[in-house]
This record gives sequence, C-alpha cells and structure tokens, in this order.
Amino acid sequence: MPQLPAQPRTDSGHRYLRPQDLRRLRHLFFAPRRPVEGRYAGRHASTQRGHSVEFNDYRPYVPGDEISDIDWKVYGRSDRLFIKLFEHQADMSVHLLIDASASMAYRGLDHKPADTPLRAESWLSQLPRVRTRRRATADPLANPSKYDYACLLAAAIAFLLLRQQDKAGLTIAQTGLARFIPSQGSFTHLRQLLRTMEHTQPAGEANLAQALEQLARRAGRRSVLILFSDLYEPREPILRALAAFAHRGNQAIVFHVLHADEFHLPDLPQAMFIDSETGQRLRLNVAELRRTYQERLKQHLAGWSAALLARGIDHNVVSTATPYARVLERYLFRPARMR
Amino acid sequence: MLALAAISLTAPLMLLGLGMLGLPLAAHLLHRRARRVVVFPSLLLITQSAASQSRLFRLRHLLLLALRCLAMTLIVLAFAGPVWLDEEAASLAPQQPAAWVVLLDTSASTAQHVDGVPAAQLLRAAAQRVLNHSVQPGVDVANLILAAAQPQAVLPAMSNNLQPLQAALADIEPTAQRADFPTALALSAQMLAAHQGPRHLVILSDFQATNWADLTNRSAAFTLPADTRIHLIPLDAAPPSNLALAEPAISPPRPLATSAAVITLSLVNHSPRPQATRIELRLDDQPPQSQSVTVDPWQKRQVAFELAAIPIGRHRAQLTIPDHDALAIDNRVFLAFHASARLPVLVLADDPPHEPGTSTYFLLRALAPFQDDRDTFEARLHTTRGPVPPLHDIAALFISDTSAWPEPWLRAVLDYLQQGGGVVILGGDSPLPQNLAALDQLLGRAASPWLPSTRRNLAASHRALFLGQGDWTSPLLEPFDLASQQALTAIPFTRLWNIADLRPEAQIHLRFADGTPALASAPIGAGRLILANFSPALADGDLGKHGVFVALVHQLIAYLQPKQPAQPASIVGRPITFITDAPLQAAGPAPILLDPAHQPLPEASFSLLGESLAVWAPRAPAAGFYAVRQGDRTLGLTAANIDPRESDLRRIDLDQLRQALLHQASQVSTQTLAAQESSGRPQSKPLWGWMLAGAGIALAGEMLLIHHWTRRRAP
Repeated sequence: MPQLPAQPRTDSGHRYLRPQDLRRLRHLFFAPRRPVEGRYAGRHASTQRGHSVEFNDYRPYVPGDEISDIDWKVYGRSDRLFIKLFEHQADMSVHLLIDASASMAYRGLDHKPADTPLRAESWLSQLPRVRTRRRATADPLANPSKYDYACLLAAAIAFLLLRQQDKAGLTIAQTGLARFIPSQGSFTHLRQLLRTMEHTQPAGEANLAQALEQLARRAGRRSVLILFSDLYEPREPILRALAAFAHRGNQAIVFHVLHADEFHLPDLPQAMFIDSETGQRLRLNVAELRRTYQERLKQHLAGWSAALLARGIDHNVVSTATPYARVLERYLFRPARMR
Repeated sequence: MLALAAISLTAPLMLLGLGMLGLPLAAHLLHRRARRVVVFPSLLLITQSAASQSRLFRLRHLLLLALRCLAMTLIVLAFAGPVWLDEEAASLAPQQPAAWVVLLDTSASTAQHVDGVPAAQLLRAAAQRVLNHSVQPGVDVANLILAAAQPQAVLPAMSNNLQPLQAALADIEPTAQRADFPTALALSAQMLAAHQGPRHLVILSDFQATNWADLTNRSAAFTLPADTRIHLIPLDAAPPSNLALAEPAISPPRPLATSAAVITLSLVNHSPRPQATRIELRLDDQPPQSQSVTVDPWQKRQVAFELAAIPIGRHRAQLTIPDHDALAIDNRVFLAFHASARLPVLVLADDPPHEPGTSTYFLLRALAPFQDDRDTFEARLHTTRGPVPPLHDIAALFISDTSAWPEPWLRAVLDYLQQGGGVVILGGDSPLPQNLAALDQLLGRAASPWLPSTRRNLAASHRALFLGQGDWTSPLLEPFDLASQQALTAIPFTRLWNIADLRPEAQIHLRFADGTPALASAPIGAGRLILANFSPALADGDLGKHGVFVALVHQLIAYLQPKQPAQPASIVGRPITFITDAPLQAAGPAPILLDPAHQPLPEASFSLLGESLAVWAPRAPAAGFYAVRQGDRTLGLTAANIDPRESDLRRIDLDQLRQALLHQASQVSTQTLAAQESSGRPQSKPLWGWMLAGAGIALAGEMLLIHHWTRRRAP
C-alpha cells in the first residue's frame, strides 16, 4: 500500500474548505467506482494491465507477446506457454465542472443577499453583546446555496484528490465554459481552485452542453469528470456532450444538486414564482401544486438517472439540506452501479 | 314599488347594498396582490405541473368569488323585499296607474283583542302595508275609507299623495259604532268609478258576521266598477270568547218615586262554553250593587236589580262586568231614567172641568182624587183650542167631550199612537163621528175599533142600559174581581152611540146588555186606541158617580201605559233624539248637549216643544251619558250604548261573502293577515326567504368546496 502523505496544511481563509471539514475528510479516499485509465502509475485500479506487483490472470501466449512476459515456471510444469498478467494501477486526473448559473444561487426563502453579513454586523452591533456574538459566530454556510454546496463538495473532492497525489482541475460553466483550470496535483493549485470558486458569482445560464464540449476538447483523454449542477437544461444536449466525453475514454460522475425547497416546494400557501434565469412569472397555489410537482420531479430525476446510468455515468442526487461530507461518504462507500 | 316582470321589489332602495359586491371583489384582488414573490431556481417542472393546476386553481377562485358574490347579491335582494307576483298581479306590473281604495273597518268589534293584540292595530298595520307596498308612490292613486256608522273617506277624492293617508292611518282608533258596510262600499265604488285603469278595493275587517250580513241583504245598495279587484284581508285567529251586557231597561219604564222599580239587562255569552261573571250596578253616587251570574254558551240571560226607593229626578245607572274579556267596550252599559212623583195623564176636553156633572169633572177627579202628591197620576188638562203639548212623557191620553179636533191635535194623537201611546176616547157629547172620520182620513185607514153613527137617548123613554158582557179575562179587565164586575154591571147608562161599523181587528172588552159594544180597542202603530161608548157625564148615565169608574180609569191607564221608557236609550253611531224633562228658561243661555266626555257636541240642534226642548244630534259618538245643559242647569239626560250586535264576534263565512261580492267585482281574493304581512302585497308571494336560503346555500357551498379542496391537498 502506498504511504499516505502527511496531512496538508490548510488555512481557514477559504470559504469552501475549512479546518473542521478537513478533519472529517482525513479518513476518506476518493476513488471512482469504476476503474480509471491513467497516464502514470498510481494507486487507482485501471482497466490497463501493466507491470505492477498485483497478479491478475494468465492467458495463452500468442505470437507478438513480449517474450519476457512468459511465465517459464508454468511452462516447466505444463509445457505450455502462458503470459502472466498483472494489474495496472494508474494515477487519476479529475475535472470538477461546477454549474454557476443563476439557478444555482438559490438558497431558500430566508436567504439574505450576499452582503447580508456586513449589513447584519452594522445593525447587530447595536444589539446586546451576547446576541451579537452568537449571530456573528454563526456558520455562514449553514444555509448554503446550491452553488455553495457544489463548491463545498468540489473542494472536498479536490482536497482528497490532491492529498492522494491525484490531479484536480476546475471548470466553471456559465454561459458555456467560463473558467477552465487544468488539473494539477499541488496544494497551491488547490488554493487557486478555491479562490476561483469563491470569486465566481452564479448568474445567467450555464449552457452545460457547450461547456462540456469545450471541456472535452481541453481535458484530453482518460480523465474523470465530476459535474455539479441542478441540470435545469435540456437533457439531450447534455447527454450527447457527456456521451462524447465518455467516448474519448473519460469517465463522468454527476452530482445533481438540488435545494430542499426544490424537493417539496417552499412552505407557502400561495406565491408568485419567478424563474431565476428566464424571469418567467407564475402565480401558484403551492399547496395545490405540491403533490403534482413532487411526482413531476420524481419523474424528472428518474429520467436523468436512467439516461445517465445508461451511458455509464454515476448519477447522485443530493440535497443541500444534507451535510456535504455525509454525501461524500455515502458516495465513496456505496458500490458502483454499473451498467 | 319597483316591478321587474313577475318579481317586484318592495324596498328597491336596498339595492344600493349591491355596492357591497365590491367587498368580495376587492378581497379577491387584494388577495392576489398579497401573494409572496419567490425567485425560484427554475420553473421548468413547475410550469409542467401547473399547466392544468393553475387554470383549475384560477377557476376555483373564480368559482368561490362567484359564490360569494351570489350570496351577497341574494342577501341584498332579500333586504330589497322581492315578491313574486302571480299571473294576474304581474299583469299589473306595467306602470299603468291603479286606483287603490282601502276600506278599513273601524267598528266597535275591531276593539277586540286577538291573541293579546288589538285587532284594530293589526288592521291598521295591514292598511299601512298596503299603502307602503302595494301602492306605487307617485303613480297609483289611493284613498282610505273608514267604515263606521257613517263611512267617510279620508281624502275627498283619490290622490297619489299617500302621506295624508298614512298620517291619518296612524291616528285611527276603533269607534264604538256599528259599521255601515253597504254605505262604505258605495262610497268606495264612487271613488273607484272616478278612475280609469286598474281598480283595487282592499277590505280590512274582522268580518263580523252580524255586521257583514247587512251586505247580503243590501247588496244592491252599491255598484262597484265591473273590473274592480277586491282583496279581503281578514284576521287570522279564530273569534275570541266574549261576554256582553246589553238592553239595559227599567221597569216600569216611567218609574214613580214612591214605588219600587227594577233595572233589567241582558248578559250575553258569545262563546261556546258557560261563563260566570259578576255584574255591578252603580246608580248615581250610591254604593254599587253586584250579583254573580252564569250564562250558558251562546245564550242570553236576563239580570234584574231591584231598586227599593228612587229619589225624584234624573238618574244615571251604569252596569259593568269587572272582568276583562276580548271586547271591553261591551262590558259596560248605561241607563238614564227619570223618576217622577206622579205619572202625567193628558186630558183633552172642551167641557167645563169644574162644572159638576160634566164628563171632564168626573174624569179629573177619577185621575187625581186627592189633588196632591198622594195621587198616582197628574192630570194635565188641555183643550182643543190650545197648543199641542209634548206627549212623549204622558202615561195616557183621555179625550173627553170636545169640539172638532184641530189638525195639530189629530196629528199629535196619531203620532202618539204610532209611537206606542194609549188613547182613550170617551163617547160623550162631541162630534165623535166627524173626529174619528178625520183621524181615519189622516191615518189612511180605519183607526177606531168602531164608528159611531147616531146618538141613542134612552132617558127619554125612562129606560137605561146596563153592561151585560165583559171579557173579564183580558189583560184590561182581569184585575176586576167579581164584586167589581157586579159593581160595573150595575151602572145604568142612558145615552150611547149606535154602531155604524165594527172593525174586524177590534177587541171588544165590554158590551151592553143588548150586545152593543161598550168598550173596544184597536191597535194603531205601536199604540192602542180604546173607544168607549159611554162617558162619565151625568147626562149619559151614572158611571161618574160610582167608585168603580175610578178603578176603570186607573186600569185603563195601566193597560195603555207605554212599555217603552219615555226617553229610549240611543245607540252609538245613530242619531240622538230626546226631549228634556225640565223646561227651557227663555232668558237663560243657549242650551248645549254634552257628550260622555263632557264636551259639547257642536252638531246638536234644539227645538222648542212646549216648554221642553227637543234635542237632536246626528250621531252619538261614544257610549255613555249625554246631558243637555243650560248654564248650570241640566234640562235632560239620556244614555247611549253600543249596538249589541257588535258583541257577537263570530266571523262571516268568507266564501259566502265572496260570492256576494263576485256579482260586483271581477275578482275577489282572500289573503290572511299573516300572508299580507309577509308579502306586503296582495296576490304576491314573498321571495326573501328563498333569497336568504339561496345565500345560505351559496355560502355553505363555498365552505364545502374550500373544505373539500383543503382536504384533498392535505398530505
């Protein structure tokens, strides 16, 4: 077993990767549920057979095989030529694609604007001290937006990857490919990723299909794509793009991030709903609509799941109400659903 | 009243309340605006889910809004008082002016209490509703006719100004009179005939059978326009039980101060069960007497109060039932009478009264033997040459030897007879055939029981004739015992009249021995004329010298004495007519007639009748005592009571009445008071109950829908 490197040192200046989170992640090892094909030797299982120490299988010799691969001991016992196969362990290059569309900014009915903490400090300072302290020490990500949640997940995975000497890159999908940071394996690179996440404000549409196509051209072959999105875009173009991505020998994992309100609609009797991206308005009796909506969402998610699994892509539906670490644990400890 | 095809609104101003429809509309709009705005990540799924739900939701809200508006509209309409007009009433809906005559019964019986409420109040309220709801203000014309003894219209002609009618209606109280419905209907017909267009006659009455029965007898007394629609609005409840006092009288009718008298009256039970009560008599200022009486259902019982001694003068007797029953006005009757020391008897004679032997000489002494207060009768001697005195209070009229009777005397004698007086004509030396012929001529038929022809004188032949036969069992001669009969038949008569003609209806009381009628009587009007074929004059026999003559004269007076009081009581609503018992002082102030409330009756008129005063007033407005005053003096007194027929509160059969009225009108309908109260318009059905029910159903439907939808969407 390769020895794990020492615990990386992180500072608390990053919004999406905090020391308390690192403590929870230290025992985790990120690995895709399917074998990867790396360029260099690493610790990840690969479909390639190579020259590692892990025996895999025998097969009969065929002309053209390396003579050195023949197991002469077997030949001595059986007078037949067999080639000894070993497992190939590869390193892993992961591309984290985060949907930064406006819909990802939703954090529920009670969310405050981005500058709320500052405003809160200004008026909280006039309140009694104890209360001000308690409010001031509250976790700003206690009620994360979907983008925050996606970034938390992505940062944790990046941290795990870098800690296990894999490579991680970041792509921001905002009206296509907005930012692309190639995958690298240093913690300096990790800080760059975190800064990029923090400096990005969700807005507009994501256009994931275009972003995936652009990413596929830049990402090269045999890498892993992890997509964080609410997938409120036409399904077919995204599936086509993902299929094309996979066709190039890449592997894809989708984290379908939804807010709790999107599962059962906000707890309001009636409301005027405005689409965060299109501005469409709709007057609704929420209570009347809830059951139909939930059925429709169930069908929607089932459709995505079936379509992705059919293409060998993991589909994970996560709610912002669930701590992201638990989501990560659940993903890593669950066996892969293979086609 | 606003008319909408077959539906009419009795209070159209209430439609202003439809402005309240803005409340649910405003609430609906405000509710829409008050919705919270949520910026949601994507409406992709919501749009797909809400594609049908949103339309359904909007439809549901519109349905709820419609139900609320419907409920509000129905409530406002209910307050507007909608009524459904039947086919005929709906035909009146066009704005063609209609004439409405409201005939309101104000007779004494409407003072009855129905379930504790005065019937007059119920009828008045019903009349008010007719004016308020049935008559279109400013379009229709109307009038109000008060049906009492003398029906009268509130306005001289039909008018579209309803305010005076409504104001008059508020002041109307039941009278103590009996209504004259034929006259009231005639007045109504006159009012309606002056209008061109639909005509309505609304009759509000207790429909007392004894009163409305006049209509069936006198239906020809009025003629309504043929197209008149008559609406009968009777009282709803059954006629209540009633005890009544009636027919107060004193016996003898002209009591003497020295003799006993009895006050009698009738207690009538107008109910289906026996009734016991106490009757109280209050005579002048004396302590009241009372007695308890029980009377069977639908029966009348005579009650008597004995009076031991009555002072001379006028007396007021008031009899009351202290108990309260349905009709209080007939629980009290009044009786006025005059007690005199002696009964006046008028003697008409031209022969010298103080010359012994004349007929008048003996007659006056037979009437008043003592010539003082010990006598029962007071003889008032008059001659044919003098004026005719008042005869109303005399006990009898004796006509002795006279000359030819002047016409005034003839008329006075005939009137006296017609009104129930008794006249005795003594057949002495007078032109008796001529006088009786004049009386027959004035009457138009034979007045006397027999007609004399010639005078027969038996003295010339020294003979005499004695009374031979007598109808001793007749009321006239029954008091004569055997000794008196013998004494009478022992008297010799020397001169008598031969009989020319004997009337068949004449009753012969005495005959001479030869069969010639000696004393016979015949009825004339309510009175009786007795013609004697003898006289007490000495020239005619020895009758005047015998004491039995005195007995005969007194018995004649007792037989002829009128059974009616000298001053019969008046009936409320009818004219007051009586003659004062005290003479008018020529130098005194003008006489006045005071009503029971001691207010002068301005319409009373007076005329001199000898020394007395004849009083007349068109009608007695109330029950009680009426006194004629001249300054501080009271000249006469009479009493007025309500018509006893008003006490019988039973209702007439409306079908029978309707049939009687159908000859006069195109349609006669009946509507109960309760129905009229609820509808406000005859021939219409109230709809506001349905409106409120509809509003309730709309609200209940809204609640059910909300509950249903809420339950469906609950998890």
